[in-house]
Amino acid sequence: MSVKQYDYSKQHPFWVYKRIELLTPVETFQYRTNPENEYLLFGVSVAFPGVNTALPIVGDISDPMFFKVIHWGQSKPLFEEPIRAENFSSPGCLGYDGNERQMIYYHKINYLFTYSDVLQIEIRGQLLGSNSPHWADILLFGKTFKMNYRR
Amino acid sequence: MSSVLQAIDTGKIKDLQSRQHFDAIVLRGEVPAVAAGGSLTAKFNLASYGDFLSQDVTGSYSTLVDDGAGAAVDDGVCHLSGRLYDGQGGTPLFSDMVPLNLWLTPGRRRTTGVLLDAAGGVPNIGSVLFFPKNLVHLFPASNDIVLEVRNGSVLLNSF
Repeated sequence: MSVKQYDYSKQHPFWVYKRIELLTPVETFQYRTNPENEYLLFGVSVAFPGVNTALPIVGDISDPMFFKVIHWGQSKPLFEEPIRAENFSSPGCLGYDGNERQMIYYHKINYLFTYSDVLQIEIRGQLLGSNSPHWADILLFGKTFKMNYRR
Repeated sequence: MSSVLQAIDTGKIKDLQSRQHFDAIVLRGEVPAVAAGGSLTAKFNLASYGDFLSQDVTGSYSTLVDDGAGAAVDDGVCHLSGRLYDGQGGTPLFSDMVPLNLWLTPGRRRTTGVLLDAAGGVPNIGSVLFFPKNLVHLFPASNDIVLEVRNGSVLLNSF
């Protein structure tokens, strides 16, 4: 029987950042965990400009974006349905002022990705043209660590 | 109760307490404008401190930009991004440079020349909530705490 033991000397916070631009109606970002480490995802924080067809960065959420977090390969969504960006996480819609929502309170997930697992973020939205690009800043809050297997 | 007291080794606890204390480490700097390189590395040397167990991180930054006519305005948009390392050239704690508005509160530090909104009013700078972000990591005394910061603005910004 093998027993997993955390090797605390090998663990550290690891935050993964990506800006995703919505160039097609569905865009994805994949993060593959290191083959020698496991990755405990605490949660996800999202910021987006809030745009409509007239002006960029106006804090308008009438053309919403939807988010989904998936354990890729197992086709395992971590929530059943895509969630509207403004309901998903903070700081959320940046608005005209750029920082109107300064509270950063990530969407808690607490999910363990093991060796070489792939986490996929999927964004859906309406394409609004080059004047009003949809994008989202994604920040994964997590910790990477190594497990020792002992018999 | 007496059995609990017997189980507590006050001598050991006092010894442990005498060798540790709470502290806050400040990293600050002024990041040059893009034309002047647009980057700065702030470091804190732990050698005289000892090991440092980080529990939370918090911070603020300026949001200055040029209005196009040569005047400095505070547009409220974060132009700085940063990356933390455990030691110079050591373990990166972030995958990439992360915009500071995604991980630092209270965040924006309001300065002079606040840009008016589309209706001509002073924009609401929002709820400046102090919400330290958990960043639990033991920085050994032999390492520096290193924060690399980049500025995307044509003006100098500080953190």
